[in-house]
Amino acid sequence: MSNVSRRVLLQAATAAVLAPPLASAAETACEALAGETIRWIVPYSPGGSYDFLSRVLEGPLERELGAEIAIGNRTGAGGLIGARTLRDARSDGRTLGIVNSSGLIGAALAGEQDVPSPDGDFTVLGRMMLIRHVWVTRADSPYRTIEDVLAAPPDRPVLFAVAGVGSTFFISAAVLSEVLGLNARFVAGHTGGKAVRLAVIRGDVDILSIGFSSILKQIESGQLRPLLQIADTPIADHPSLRGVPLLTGPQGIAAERVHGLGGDPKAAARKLDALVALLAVGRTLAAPAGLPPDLTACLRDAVARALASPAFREAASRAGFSLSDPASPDAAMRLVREAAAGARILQPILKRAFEEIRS
Amino acid sequence: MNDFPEAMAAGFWIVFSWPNILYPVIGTLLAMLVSFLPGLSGIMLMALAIPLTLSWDAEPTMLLFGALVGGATFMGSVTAILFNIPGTAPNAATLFDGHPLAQQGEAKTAIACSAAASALGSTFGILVLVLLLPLLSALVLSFGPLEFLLLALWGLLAIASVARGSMSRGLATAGLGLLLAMVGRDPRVGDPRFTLGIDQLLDGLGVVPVFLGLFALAEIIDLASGSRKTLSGQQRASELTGSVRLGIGAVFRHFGLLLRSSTIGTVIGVIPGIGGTVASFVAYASASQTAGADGHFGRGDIRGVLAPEAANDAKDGGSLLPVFVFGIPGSEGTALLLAAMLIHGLVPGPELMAEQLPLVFAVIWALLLSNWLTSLLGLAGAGLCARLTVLPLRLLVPFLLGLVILGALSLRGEFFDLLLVVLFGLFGYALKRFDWPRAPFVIAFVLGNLFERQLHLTLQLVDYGRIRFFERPVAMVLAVLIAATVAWGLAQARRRYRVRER
Repeated sequence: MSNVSRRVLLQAATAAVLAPPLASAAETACEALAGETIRWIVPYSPGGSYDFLSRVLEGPLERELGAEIAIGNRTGAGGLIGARTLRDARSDGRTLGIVNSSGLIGAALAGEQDVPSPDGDFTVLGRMMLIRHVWVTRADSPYRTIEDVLAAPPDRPVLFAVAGVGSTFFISAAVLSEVLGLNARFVAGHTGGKAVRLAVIRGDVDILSIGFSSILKQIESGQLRPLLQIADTPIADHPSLRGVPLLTGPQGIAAERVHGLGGDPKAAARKLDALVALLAVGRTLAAPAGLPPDLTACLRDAVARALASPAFREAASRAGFSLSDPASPDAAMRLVREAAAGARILQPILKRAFEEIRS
Repeated sequence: MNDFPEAMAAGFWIVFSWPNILYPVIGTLLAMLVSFLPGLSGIMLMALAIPLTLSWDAEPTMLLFGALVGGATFMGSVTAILFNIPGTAPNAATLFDGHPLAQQGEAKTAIACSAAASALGSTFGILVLVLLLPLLSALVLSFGPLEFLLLALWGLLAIASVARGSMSRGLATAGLGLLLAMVGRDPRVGDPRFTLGIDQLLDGLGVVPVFLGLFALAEIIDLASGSRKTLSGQQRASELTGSVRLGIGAVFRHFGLLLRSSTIGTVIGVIPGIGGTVASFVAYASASQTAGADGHFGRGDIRGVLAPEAANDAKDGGSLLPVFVFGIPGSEGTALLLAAMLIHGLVPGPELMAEQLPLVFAVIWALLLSNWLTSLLGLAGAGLCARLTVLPLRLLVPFLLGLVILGALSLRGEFFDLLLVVLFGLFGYALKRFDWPRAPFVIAFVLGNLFERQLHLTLQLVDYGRIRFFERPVAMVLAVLIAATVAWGLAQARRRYRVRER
């Protein structure tokens, strides 16, 4: 155990002795942070959702902890450098941050070296929100429904916009086109979220698989329309999603399609559930692994309260982030585990897709 | 559309009323302060302003962000001209000719020209923005991978003209620039290339550290080791030859170039995701290509200051368009503007343009105000700034060295960036010392990435039958421009050859 965490424990222990008997050990562990400066690591630059949500959360979390939070953007390597910085920091509660768990799992699947595991290298404190993908196409695209996409003729493959091979745009497109037996091709090389959006709005490509709340603005302005919800229950109560088919679950299109192709619906369902979990798990709030249990407990509480605070929820929801389900920290942790386990199921499919794109 | 004049006027009064006017003015002054430090910029201020303005009303927030998003870019050119230190990456194109002017005692002229070009360029960009609002979607959507590719190619052609004098050396440094642009992930698959296993190189060599080394540090080494006593070689301010009048006059003498550069800047601004660095380099490239025989680009041609500065500021007006209309930001600055808009309930798209038009214009006016304010303060301070060039070097050099080190470290708090600065500083000094041109290197380095990525995308889309050249008018126009540039260059070369023969 590092000196600092021993000190924290000592302080916590002292505080526990001195504190009124009703205060729980968890609360006192956080008191050691009061008046301190907490470094909050954002692995992406200002102007993105990770930075934005962190800055909106900053105030409420500062009030919860009585501490000063200093946001630092540790950018580079698609979020890897920031995630490594957080992983390698001391687990004393003075370094916290946000990591892109989907991105980390994707990077590991793409064969990237030294990728922190969201499951093992961090203490999960909570998650910002559940991310659920939709497939969108241009408003005037020839693909009116998902059936049109499934029936794409051999001489005109469906084109998907993807950024790097570890991106969720790519993972979703690759897994779904294999499981659903699509005649699909990936147009790779876009710089990121902005570029793939423009590519599908321009009509260079046909479909983009992307988190519903990140594409809501373009859907509402009538440039794009959703074709498929990558979920087993409706993603949101939004007019644009009415009548848009679900992928999995009892009403999902997957079971029938896989059956029609002569595949094993159960195996397919396992893969698709793994995909849904992997896509959902982005924006995990975390500390380095090995955080003392009482500190973990009180940080989780503080984070949960900050996430539930009206100040955070109002700003985030006005900026277009759907916050329908404030998850419990346990649920957040479970999802990270599920996603990491799911990644192992998806590995063979993605490997084939990587090879296709590299050739 | 007939609400336009009314909304413009309403927007104007939102900005120019008390106490509203304070927000853009304070925003501008803050942005001016931080833009002296390379690495820090209005972007950081905007990120810090997000939590600060959460509880504010929409109007003051938008006014502040309007001023921060494009304001004060001109300030970066002052350090570029005076000390070869580009305050922001786009200002790097200004130092090719701006700094030689300062060394000839004409810093005042160069700064005044930069200020005037910035103000007029931004006005042009905003004028176009307002006129084009109705046609905007068509314009943005007409730029795809093929058009980006041709744009990059057009810029790369300029290597031939900036290498004038020693073509083989120019081509060699350009080749090196292209090679170094490839460091990082390959654009298609994302596999690391030439990174030597160093994580910090995964995203490629940073433009700012490379520029800081290649120009600023190289210059500092040169100053420290040379025999000059001051930057301009003059001891007294009265011996400096530059004047504000000359600088402003230059902008009107080359009005055609101002319009051309502003057009380049606006168009590149409208297209999300290319950015100011490419805008100012393409404008510089285009200016140097058409300079003709009397040009002395790279050795203190005022047009080399005018073109990139006009383009860089014209870009800001253009870059607001995709945000307002599509909700797609083209840069980190406009992404933060978008976030601020959304928080305050302003959702981009047709509805915003219909219902909140006065506020949209208020943002535009705030941007314009900020650009003019910076330029006017720049003009007022040009003389004072120019005096720095008669400061004894033994005082100036340590100060500049501190500025460069601070700039490198403040970029993203990475010690590695400082190493890059030192490495490229030594390299830049060697190039300067042995008279190898640096401009071809930088142009290739800046445009190499864009070129390679768009080439990959274009090839894939051509393969799938999604791009047909003859169905793309913008691509055809760009192809004609490229052909004309090559033909013009060949004609020039032939004329020079004939003159030499005689």
